[in-house]
Amino acid sequence: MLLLELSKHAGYLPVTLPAPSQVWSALLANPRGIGLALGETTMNAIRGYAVAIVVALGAAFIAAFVAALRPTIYNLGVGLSSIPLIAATPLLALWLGNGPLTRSLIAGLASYFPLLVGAMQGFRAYETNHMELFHVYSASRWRVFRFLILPSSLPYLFTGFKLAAPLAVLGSLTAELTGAENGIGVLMLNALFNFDIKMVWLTVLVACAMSGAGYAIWALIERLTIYWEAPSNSSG
Amino acid sequence: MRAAPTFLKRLSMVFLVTVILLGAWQMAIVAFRIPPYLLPTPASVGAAFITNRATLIDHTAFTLLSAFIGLAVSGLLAIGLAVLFVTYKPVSQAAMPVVILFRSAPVTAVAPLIMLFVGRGIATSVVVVVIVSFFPILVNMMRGLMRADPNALELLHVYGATRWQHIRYVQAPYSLPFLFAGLRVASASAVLGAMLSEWVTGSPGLGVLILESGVMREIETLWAAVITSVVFALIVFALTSAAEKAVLHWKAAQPT
Amino acid sequence: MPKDLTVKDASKWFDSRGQQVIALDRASLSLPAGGFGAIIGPSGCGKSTLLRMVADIIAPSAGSILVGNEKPSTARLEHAIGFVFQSATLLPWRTVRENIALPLAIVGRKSKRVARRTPDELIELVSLQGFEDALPAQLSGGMQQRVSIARALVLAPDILLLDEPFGALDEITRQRMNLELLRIWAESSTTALLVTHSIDEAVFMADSVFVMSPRPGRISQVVDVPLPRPRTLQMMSSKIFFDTVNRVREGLYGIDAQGTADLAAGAPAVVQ
Repeated sequence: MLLLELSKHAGYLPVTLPAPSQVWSALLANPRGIGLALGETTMNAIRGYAVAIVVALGAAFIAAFVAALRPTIYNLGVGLSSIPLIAATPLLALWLGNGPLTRSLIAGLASYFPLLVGAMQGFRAYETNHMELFHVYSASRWRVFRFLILPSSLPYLFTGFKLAAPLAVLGSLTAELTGAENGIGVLMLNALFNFDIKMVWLTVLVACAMSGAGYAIWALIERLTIYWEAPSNSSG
Repeated sequence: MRAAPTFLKRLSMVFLVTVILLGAWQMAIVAFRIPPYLLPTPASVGAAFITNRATLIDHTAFTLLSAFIGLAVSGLLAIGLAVLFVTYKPVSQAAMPVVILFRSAPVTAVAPLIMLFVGRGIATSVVVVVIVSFFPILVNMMRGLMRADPNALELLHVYGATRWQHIRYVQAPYSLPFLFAGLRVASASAVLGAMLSEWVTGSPGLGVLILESGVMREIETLWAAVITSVVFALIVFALTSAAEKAVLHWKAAQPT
Repeated sequence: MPKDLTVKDASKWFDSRGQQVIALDRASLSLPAGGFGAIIGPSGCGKSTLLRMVADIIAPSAGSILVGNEKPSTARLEHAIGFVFQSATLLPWRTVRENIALPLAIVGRKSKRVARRTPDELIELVSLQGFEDALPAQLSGGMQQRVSIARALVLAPDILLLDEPFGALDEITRQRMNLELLRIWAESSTTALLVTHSIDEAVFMADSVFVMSPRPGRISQVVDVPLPRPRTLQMMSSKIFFDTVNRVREGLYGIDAQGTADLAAGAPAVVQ
């Protein structure tokens, strides 16, 4: 940072790379506007992410109990994910209006796939031996789920949560590019058109921080939740 | 050859389902009087395909070209770096944080920066594609290289094999399934990355076509472009899966 | 209360690429209530298949199995079966005590089964005091298997099935675990059926050794062990032990083929 700052003042850096202090001043120039934009983008991302979690985990839960539906659910998921985000955005905007609803849904669409894959893999990640044990004790399906399937799936679920959080931010940002009134993506696009280099950098850094934070929060929760180590291979 | 008839059968099934869906689509619009801005008729979308075919082809070619070049560059780069990282652990420890930083950055945020540096045009698209597709290939390739059977490696060591022979005979084959898993993810995000960077730079690709026809309310053109992009996303996915099957004939199970 | 076990002409066959593969061919055995039986045989003789059929993990293709007077499925639903797997099969996120208590949690309070033991009582029985709150990953292989035995006993099963429980342990640990298992079995009043591929282990532990031969898997011989109880390590160097081991060995290598039997008899005997 210091190096960047010094070399900027010495005139070594191109116009396109501002000094850290310049980016900082862009933040100080309009902290309220940037805060509002950040709130807008974050809220859309969180709403979409929450919907994606409910839908993906619900679908995986059904797939875990009804084996016949498993391929259908997975193929639907793959099919939906193969629609490019960019193709879905204008269509949703046409159908649902160009508002927070559309942008939340895009965030959900962007982030549900790793959640679905993680949950579907996770719900089948138990060991066969363990399942036989539960069978010998004639455990009810619900108890099998609670005592075996759910805990076994946690590492996979967290992988899904971690991967999906930055994608929800990406979806929320991308949806703003089709013409939202407010949001980090909007500020970014405006700054780009006005060739406001400091502002471009500021918005980019804020966006990166958002998705980094999404990942980091889940990594922290994961570390606090999964206290046991990976099953050790005790064969000698 | 038992494969050919089943393939033809599947193809005809797909065709049949498509025709039925198109028919249902057309009828639903007529029956429920759905206004065209919500859902245009297949016939009008078909007409848009024909009248705009030159634009569609040009824009699609631009997007595919940037996705392809970017994917090729990032593939070579990622494979090379993966071998380097796995062979020299200190390098990997030094470089991984930078790689992860790049990866957690949203494409939408990266594209404007790249544009500042390399300007509007295909270069930005290519660089963005490289960045978004690089990480999945690198991570999967590294995981695969490290997954090699330690006994097989020890065997080669006992025979005095060189570093290169270790990679050639054991590590590379072990990593192939992982490489393909990475390529599948990467190719999907490559198309997405290419289209996204067009949104930012305004280069004449499919992404821009979708954006502009959406803004201009040219619904039929919008649908034609969206369908084209979905079809190409599916084709890219199918191609990587097919290549995977062809190369991995010895392996029945799929890696996670 | 321990229950006797009667297996009559139990068979199991699978369809593999249109071909019928017989895993187990008309196996019959009986074990009195409170007795200790051992099934021995080479890999692929169907000994685990037989054990899993008794536990109602897989169903026989033909024949009958009775635990007491009940079908295995009934016995299983009554939680009368304890099963110890080859690997400890502990849930890595549950502590030692929680793993032992798992069957209690699975069965719930509504179960009619009253004969239960407390986890703490069992921790003492398998000598794991001080490790109640340890996670499985912090235990050695032998200790993990002890937890799994304690777990199998928590519902006071009428029959305890053990599928090569010490197969993954080293010889020294294994010997000690065998002694402990005998002590636990004597204190628990349960019928026990052990699958093993060690002749010494089978003879040392059991009242009757069921010798199996492969392709198709069948019980080729039953060898009774005339050693008194409680068993001690000294017995392993006795003449009775030595003779019984040889009879099992002959059963395993085939008494019809004279040369094979000679070869078996000439092979180095028990090293203890």
